[in-house]
Amino acid sequence: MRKMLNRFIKNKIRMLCIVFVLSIAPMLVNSSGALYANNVLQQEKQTITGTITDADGLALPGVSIQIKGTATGTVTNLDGKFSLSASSNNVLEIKLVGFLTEEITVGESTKMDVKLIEDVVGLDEVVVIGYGVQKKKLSTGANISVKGENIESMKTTNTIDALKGISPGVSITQKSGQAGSGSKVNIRGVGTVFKAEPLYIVDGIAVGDMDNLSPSDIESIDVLKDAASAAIYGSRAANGVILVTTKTGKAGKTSISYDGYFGRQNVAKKPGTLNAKQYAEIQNEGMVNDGKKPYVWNLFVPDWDKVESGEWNGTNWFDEITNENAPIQSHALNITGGTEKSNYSVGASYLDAKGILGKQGNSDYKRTNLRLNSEHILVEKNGQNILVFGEKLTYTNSKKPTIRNGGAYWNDVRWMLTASPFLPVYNDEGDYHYALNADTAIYGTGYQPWNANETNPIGMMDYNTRNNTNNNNSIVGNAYMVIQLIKNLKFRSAYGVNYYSNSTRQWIPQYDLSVNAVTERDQVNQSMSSGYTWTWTNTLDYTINIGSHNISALLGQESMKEKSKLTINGHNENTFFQDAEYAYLDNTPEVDETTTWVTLGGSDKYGWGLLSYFGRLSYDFKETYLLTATMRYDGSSMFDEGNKWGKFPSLSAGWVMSNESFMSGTSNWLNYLKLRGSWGQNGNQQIYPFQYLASLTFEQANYFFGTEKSIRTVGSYPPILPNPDIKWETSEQWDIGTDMNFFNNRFQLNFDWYKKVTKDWLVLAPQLDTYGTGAPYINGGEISNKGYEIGLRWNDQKGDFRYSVSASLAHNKNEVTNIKNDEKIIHGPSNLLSQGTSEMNRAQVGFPVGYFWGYETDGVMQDSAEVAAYVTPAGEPYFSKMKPGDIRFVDKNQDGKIDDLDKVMLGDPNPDYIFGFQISLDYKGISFQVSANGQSGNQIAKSYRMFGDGPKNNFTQDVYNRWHGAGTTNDYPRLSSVPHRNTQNISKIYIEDGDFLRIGTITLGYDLKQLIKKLPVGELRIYATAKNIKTFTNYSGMDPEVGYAPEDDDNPEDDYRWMKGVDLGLYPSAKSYLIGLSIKF
Amino acid sequence: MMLKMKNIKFYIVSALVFLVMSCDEDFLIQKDLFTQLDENYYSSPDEIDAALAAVYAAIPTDAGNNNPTLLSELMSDDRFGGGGTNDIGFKDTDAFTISTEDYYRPVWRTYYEGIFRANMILKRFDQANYTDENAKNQALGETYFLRAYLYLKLCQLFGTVPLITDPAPVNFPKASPEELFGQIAFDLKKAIELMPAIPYNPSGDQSRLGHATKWAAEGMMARAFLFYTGYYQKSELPLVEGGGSVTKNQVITWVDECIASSGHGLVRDFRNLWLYSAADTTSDYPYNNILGGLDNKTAKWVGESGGNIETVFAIKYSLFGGWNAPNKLSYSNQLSLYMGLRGANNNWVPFGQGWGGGPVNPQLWDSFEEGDIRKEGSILNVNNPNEGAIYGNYVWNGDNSQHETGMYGKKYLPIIYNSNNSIRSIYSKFYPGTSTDMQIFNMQDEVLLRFADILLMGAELGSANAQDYFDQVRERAGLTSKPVTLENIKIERRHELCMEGIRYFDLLRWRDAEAAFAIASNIPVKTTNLDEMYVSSFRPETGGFLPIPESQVRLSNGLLLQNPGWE
Repeated sequence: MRKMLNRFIKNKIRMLCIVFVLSIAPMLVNSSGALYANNVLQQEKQTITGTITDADGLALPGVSIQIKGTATGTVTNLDGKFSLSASSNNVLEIKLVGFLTEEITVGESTKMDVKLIEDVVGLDEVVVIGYGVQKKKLSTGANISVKGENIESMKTTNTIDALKGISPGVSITQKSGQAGSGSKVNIRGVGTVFKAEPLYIVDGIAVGDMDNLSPSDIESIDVLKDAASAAIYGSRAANGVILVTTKTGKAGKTSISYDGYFGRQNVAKKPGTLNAKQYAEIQNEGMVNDGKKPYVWNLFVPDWDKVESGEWNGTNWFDEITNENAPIQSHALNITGGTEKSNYSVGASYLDAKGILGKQGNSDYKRTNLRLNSEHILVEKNGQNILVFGEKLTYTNSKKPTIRNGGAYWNDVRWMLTASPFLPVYNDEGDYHYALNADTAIYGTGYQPWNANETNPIGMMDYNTRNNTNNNNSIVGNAYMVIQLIKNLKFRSAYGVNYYSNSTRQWIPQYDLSVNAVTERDQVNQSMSSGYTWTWTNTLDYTINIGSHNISALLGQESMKEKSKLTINGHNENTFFQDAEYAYLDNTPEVDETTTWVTLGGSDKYGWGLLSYFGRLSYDFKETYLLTATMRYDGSSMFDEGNKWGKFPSLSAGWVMSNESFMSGTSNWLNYLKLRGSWGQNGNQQIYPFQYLASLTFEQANYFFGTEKSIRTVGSYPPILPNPDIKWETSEQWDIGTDMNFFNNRFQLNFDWYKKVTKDWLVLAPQLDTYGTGAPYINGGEISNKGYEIGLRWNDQKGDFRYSVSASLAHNKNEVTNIKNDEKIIHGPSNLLSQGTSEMNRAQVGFPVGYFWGYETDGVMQDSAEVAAYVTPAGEPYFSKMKPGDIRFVDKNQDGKIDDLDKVMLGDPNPDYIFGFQISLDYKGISFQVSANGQSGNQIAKSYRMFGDGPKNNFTQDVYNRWHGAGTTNDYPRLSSVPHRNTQNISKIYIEDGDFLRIGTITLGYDLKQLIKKLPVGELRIYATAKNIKTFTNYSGMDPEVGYAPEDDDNPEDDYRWMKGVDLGLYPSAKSYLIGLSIKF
Repeated sequence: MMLKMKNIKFYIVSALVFLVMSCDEDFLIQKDLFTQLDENYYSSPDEIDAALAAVYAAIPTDAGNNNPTLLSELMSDDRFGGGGTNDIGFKDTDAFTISTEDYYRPVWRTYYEGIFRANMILKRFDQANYTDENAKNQALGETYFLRAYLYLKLCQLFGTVPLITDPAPVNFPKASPEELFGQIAFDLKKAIELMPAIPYNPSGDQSRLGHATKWAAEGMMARAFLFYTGYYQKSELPLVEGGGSVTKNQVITWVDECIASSGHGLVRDFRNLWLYSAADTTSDYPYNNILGGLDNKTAKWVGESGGNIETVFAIKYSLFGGWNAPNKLSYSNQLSLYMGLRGANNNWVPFGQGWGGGPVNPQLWDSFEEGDIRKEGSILNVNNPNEGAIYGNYVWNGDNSQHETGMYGKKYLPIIYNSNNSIRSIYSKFYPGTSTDMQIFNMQDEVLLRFADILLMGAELGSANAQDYFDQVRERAGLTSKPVTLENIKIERRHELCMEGIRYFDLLRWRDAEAAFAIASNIPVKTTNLDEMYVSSFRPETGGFLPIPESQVRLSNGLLLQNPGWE
């Protein structure tokens, strides 16, 4: 049966290929030069000259002036002047992107000065859609289009972060505040458990993320949110699509611009750890609470007298690693220009951001970008471009060493928060201080080290991260040609590559900082990786207008293949030079059978191919009734025969009601009204490959026969139960929206409601352990996201004063609606906050994905009467040795035990609302901008210390919220000198609201050209920007933007990227002040 | 630069032709270059060996708190929970309670992984092209042995469990004790019959050390027989497939054969079996200077090969312990880490740091006969002047210690030495590459079946040589002969095999658990340096078994029933 099906599908593919060729063939045969005949009546011509300016009278170069209905036209020069030969009855069409198009009949005058009016509404502006562009007013989808200049003005180091607050429905959360760490992006909620990131397409090429892009290279970013818009990307579009277009050249004057800034960055909010004296007091409070004697500190702490007298406050580890006023600089040069036949756009930019933390380590981010885009009209006939050739190329080099950050145990930031203030950073010789040891010769008899196992965390950070270097190169680019076969029928073929090559090198010196932090030898690690993917896209595009019927059709084919994904790495120890500069594997001893520490790895996990056919048909009648249908047919190597191919259809419609005559009565205040609706299906195929194959692995099952403990026998076993039925995950989405303009287009409103259901969710659903091996991915679940998005904008001009205010709001509700196993749960990791804490994040049917799971509490027992009253239904105390100050955990099922069955949802890491606003003012060259973004309704789980395995960890100032006597608090338990269920049980003491509103950017600028008209430049703007200077939040941690989740690309069972909002001491974001200069020639 | 229209069309047509070619279906076929396809596997002796290694690799678990030896020691009357305040699991295991519903999932899961891997081999073994009949039988015999071992351990820990003998994924309910032990007996019998009888040769080739042998299978058969017939009060072991049974006499024959012909025997100084006897006598550990053993000599470690004729079957640990692939925690001896001294520092050499699991019941220390070398040889008592550096230097409450008694199970303590004020595993003397990380630097063999145990089982089963077997063990301990009664055997087993994960299952099969726990109660201990009384809390309603991981009960859709006393 399956064979027959396979054959059927194979035949179908072959048929499709044939149909594709046949459908094109007649067009080829029919195409002839005759179709390009020019039917314009010849009349007596005269030379028209004139100047085109903007509302302020500033000359506009590069304005296109064309005689309507012909290919004849010109472009204004540097001074906005033009000259054109035309007849008196000709209509001139004067066009410039960003301005309203003017149509003027030539008439008798030979002089024509025109003021163009800025098009703030942008209805005529074209937006990028999949494999093409479309007029915004004809769009039937829910899309966001952001211009490059808006992105650049946010002065973010990372391009995607500039979309925060201005793109309703797009949730962007930094993975860490360390520059270069990237962000977690979800469009319209989390739709799946593995990779829920949108598809990023840069100039037609799919890339993994946008981290390599420079904000200065961007022409526009378009976000396709609804399924109908994204469906043209079929199998990869389930999580939405972000289309990035890099800057292109324009015919006309060469334009040179430079933008550069310098700045200083600082930690926005410090965690506030306790000083030595406070720490000692708090530690003793725990001792006393436990019925023990307080510590006699001079027996535990060297130089206690200095602490007691206030002469020494102990070490503030966080302050010690803080880089005050860490410099940041950015320079971007852009040159665009061209003739009517050829244009180019060249850009070069450089960013250097020093890390605000990790002074003794290294977390500096450097990025260099080069861009070279050009387009050439090779053949032109009768004003029609018959053959166009172009290319786009972006090269990026980045260096982003990091200090360790993320989880609880591999986290330099957290170690600074937990280290005791008693240990000095340096010893008398200026070296890193060894752990406090029991040298009774110095400290006298009876002395005991406070914590002999505590290692100097700055020493460890230095040794492990200072000598890390990495070098990342990537090239994303394509070459394309467009052939006009007949009028309005264009064939476009583009071949693109995405290539990267990364290398890392690390040297860790031999060190000895405590009994537990000692190495025998210095170590060197080197690794290299590179990858190469190509994409070949062929599309046919045809537009036709028959009367008021406008039709445009797109037919396309695309193939994509990842050709290589090479990695090679090596580790050796005992280098010859004992020096970071010389730390290369070649400078280490050769391997012999006694060295067990050497590791070598090398692979080429190249991986997958995608073969696709797609089409889109757009129709409108009088630009009033709009209809678009798309279909994509994708085949992927990720799946087995029979499941390789998937169909992804979509349908959308719009009605521009304001064009109707019955609306004429409201046209004085309602200028534009469009209703639109769409439905579509998208796919997701992001899983670990080869889930359908029965295979054997050689990893993780070694055994050690014989006498030598250094010889291993590699074991083999089937790592998963194969799932031959694995197929696409499908996301189905409905969207209803409206776009409205009021009051002479001064006020705009966009609204969308959507419902997105992910079906056949690709999930690693737990299976019975008795099956004896790993579970494969299955199409085993369903998740639903529902919500709405509102965008508002008001803009107006009063004389020279221009202003605009815009705001956005998005609401989303996420719920897991099915997991196809009997447990209906995907479990998060345990020991996340600290050793001994149980699982606290779950994906479970009936709850939002990644919700926080733990005990409900009923306050703190204030006195012994309340302790005595805290009993089971049988009247027994719930725990032995209960004391006032202990938490009353709620026995939900009243079974007399506090256990997992009593656990409830404590919070939801997914925000209910994401919002933002921008204000922009402009008066005679003075400009002022504020932009803010925020979210609400989400919770964060926070713990900055190891309550479990580190009772001697330091605290942050939060500790003063503790219970310390009847009536002090009902929220937080008493302190204890040892781990206690009060802190080991996950309850709301760790859960906080994560609502925040952040003032992202404030910029004040002035164009000196306004003052000194003689300046030989078009614009010379100086500006000052403050970034992230204020965050309004009740969250007590350093930064409410918490995108961390334990991720593991190689091991599905350790991958929890569906989680978020767990703050274990995340590198906080910087607050910075920048001064910049922007020049345009 | 003017191109002719004709040419353009030509280019387009060529492009389209190429397009059609790219419609080839092969484009969507991707090869996995890093795994071996299952359909061709299990066809050569090398592949069987690799598959078998993966079964062995399933015996130790990554989660040290789930090591079956540790678990059964914590459950026994000889050891308390201990650990730090945060090691709630240690105390739960000790007290027959549970705080985390899936606490025992690592061992459950790992053992079923081993069973699955063994089932794969057994199902596909026929396609392996062996030329050496002995090698073929040895490999097949080992596979049967391993499956039986894994099931026996599961049955000892969890009572009854699903019985799975085929790699196909099926949701099975628990099998009956008869079915489970019928399978265990069948597999062990197969293993005994298949594996060639090659005596252990201390001076011979040691490269196969660690593999199961016919002798290990004979000893394991005795253990399975005693457990089943004792716990379930039966007279013989049933057999699946063809029925029948394994009688006591048959087991005695096998045990006698093992004792007589295996080449295994007792090491002459009991202390030499354990790693502490490798510590430097002059500076680090004067205890080893005490004369003792059958030859009245100082203690000197016998090692793990060659002269160590006593180990019949053991887990082999290695230098490759670690957290990241290709290393794993279970490649190092986590049992030692979990039993190690809490908060140890370099004043306690040669005893290294660990998590302090299973403080020893002082009653055990007191119960030894005068002159029994095994008392000090098995238990570290910090108040014993013979122990050297730790005596007088011991600091109570090293790191929030629980149930602290000042006594530790010496057989598997981490053994270290002092190198320029830094501690090193004693193994770094033999392997210069040894890690300095105390969490992964322990690697002594974990002995799962020791010759002394086989002697005592032979005595208990009623072999004709019972008295001789029994006396051999006592003599080596420095004791004189006693009548070989069950009562005497019980005491002898407790003293000979303490700290080795044997005691608790002995109590269960003798049906002595309740009585034993009644004695092991109200014992003064220190918890985070506060005095308290240790109270044992054996729960007979559990049958002495652990709970099945609750998630598995849910995943089985109600088919798998939770154990009695844990619902």
